[in-house]
Amino acid sequence: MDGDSADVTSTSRPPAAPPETSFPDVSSPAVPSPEIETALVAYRSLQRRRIVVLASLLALLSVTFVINLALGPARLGVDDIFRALLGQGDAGAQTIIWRLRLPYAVMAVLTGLALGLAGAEMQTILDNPLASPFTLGLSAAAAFGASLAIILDWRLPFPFLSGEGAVAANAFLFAIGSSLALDAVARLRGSATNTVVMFGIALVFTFQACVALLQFIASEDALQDLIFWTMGSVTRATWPKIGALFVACVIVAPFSLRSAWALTALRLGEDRAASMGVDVRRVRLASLMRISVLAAIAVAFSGTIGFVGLVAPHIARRLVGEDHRAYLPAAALSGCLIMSGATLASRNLVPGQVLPVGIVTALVGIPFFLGVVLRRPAS
Amino acid sequence: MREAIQDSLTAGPLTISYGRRRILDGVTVGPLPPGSITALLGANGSGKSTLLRALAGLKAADGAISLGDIPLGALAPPERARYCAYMPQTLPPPIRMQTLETVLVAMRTDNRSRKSNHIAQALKILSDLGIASLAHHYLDELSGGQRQLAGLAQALARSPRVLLLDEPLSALDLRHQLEVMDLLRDETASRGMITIIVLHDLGVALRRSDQAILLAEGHVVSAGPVNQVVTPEHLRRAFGVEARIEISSDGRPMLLVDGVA
Repeated sequence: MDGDSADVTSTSRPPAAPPETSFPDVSSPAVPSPEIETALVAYRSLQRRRIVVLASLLALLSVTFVINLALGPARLGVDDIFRALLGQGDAGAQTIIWRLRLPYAVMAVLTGLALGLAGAEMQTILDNPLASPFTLGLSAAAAFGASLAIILDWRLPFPFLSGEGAVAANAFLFAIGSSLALDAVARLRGSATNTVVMFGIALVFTFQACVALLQFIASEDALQDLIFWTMGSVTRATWPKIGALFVACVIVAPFSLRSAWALTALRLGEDRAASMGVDVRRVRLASLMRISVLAAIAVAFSGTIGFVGLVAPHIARRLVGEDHRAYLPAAALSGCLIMSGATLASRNLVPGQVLPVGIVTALVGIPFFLGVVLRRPAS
Repeated sequence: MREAIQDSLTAGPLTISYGRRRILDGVTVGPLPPGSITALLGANGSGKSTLLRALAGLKAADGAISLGDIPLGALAPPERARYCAYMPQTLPPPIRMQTLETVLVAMRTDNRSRKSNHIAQALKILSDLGIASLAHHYLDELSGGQRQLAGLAQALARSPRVLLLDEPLSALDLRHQLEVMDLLRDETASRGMITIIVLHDLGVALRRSDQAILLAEGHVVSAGPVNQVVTPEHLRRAFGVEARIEISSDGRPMLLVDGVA
């Protein structure tokens, strides 16, 4: 937790020697040293508590992940699953694990991670607790892109894409386009956060109207497809998609963590952060780029899953506070956990049916959310 | 302590416009010597906050700003943060972070000393401000005044050479206002800081600051020792009020405002 090494600010040496002004009386502080000891202990235990919370989230996630592999219509024993994972044993079991359960489970975790992290950064840089990829139009734009492919059969001129791949590519294109538009507005208006939020809301309504228009003219079959797409599902997971999302997460997450200090400073107020040497504009734009990539890919592959990006940050804030070194991982893990639990429920709630995960996410996530948010802080 | 004049803060003439509107027009500041408190005075919209933001490097201005021979105005934000700490008028937001943590985050600009040292320094500041007991409280549990003190601690903890405060007393009760001003006096003197404070209370300015800069409509009405700046004639021009300066029974100057001019 004390990873103070990633210094986002210091670049070159100043032209003159840095100031030698430190506290003249640090050696004989007015605060008695037992008090400093106490505070030090309190601070360290706070950090430890955060690590424990993160570890617990990770442990819970592992449990839901394993249950995701274990539960399903076909009854597989633990040893069947292990053997299938190692590529041995019954071919049927291998197919179930490698084609169905494992991709769903992995996709759920990665989608949750991407949306949780994107939501957490978005709420920080826009200084708005209601910001998320869903509320600022990325999901709506993706749905419009998907509906263009599903209903009008309009697709990108990529010959190697067909069917679902084309739908995902369309969705991605529109999601990234809408976040580039958000980005452009942020640049244009000197990154005034309220303007960006208002513009995002305008995007939501615009794309919703466009989707409704397409739905109105759609054939019954296409409409069915589109509605299923917009409900969000991890059953479209394939290993190439998983690979793409995984690569995106692996590339983006370290940059997020590297900006943790700057983002934390931003929470103290924009001017305060700027006075601490944070290049607010650059931090905000870089963060918006990260959000765009994560959210656009996640939404393109899994459809509209609204709840995670909005709620995971709130859960994280309650659990570990807003030091972004802990808050960002906690939001990502909370997102994973919600998605993993939701996938579990979506596959097992109705026997023989896989419910769209978008429906279940809210139903599974809300008790968790209310439990954390409505709990009186222990003070 | 180095040569006083050599380490002084000088700025200007500074000109700042928002669109076609001129907020500051050829304002010069200083030289303000280390160890002194300067009150930045003026009516609403006179350009006080803009001038302070310009000195903090948050608002681009035409004109040079230098600390001794360091061209502050030309430094990149991270470099400048080593010298200047700025506290905006808005209170720190009620976020889910403990007071001590926020001070430590603010001190991250100074990477050289060890964390336990940081904690000792942060605690000293908090106890000087009388809020050591709030060190482990979350900001979203504090009152507005307590958060203002936390914000002040964040600025002071950075050990700046130039301390820029925009109405640091606005949310504080009477006793805390006096305590904060006394603390700023002591710290300014002992650290050799150049402290510039936007103040609304002319009485506080008169009694607790060394120099003053009085602004009206983006121009300097008067600048210099505070008792030469805060005069009936200047106040009439800057605020449009009739005021008297009397010597109170303790021998110190006292401001009496009689009415609108």
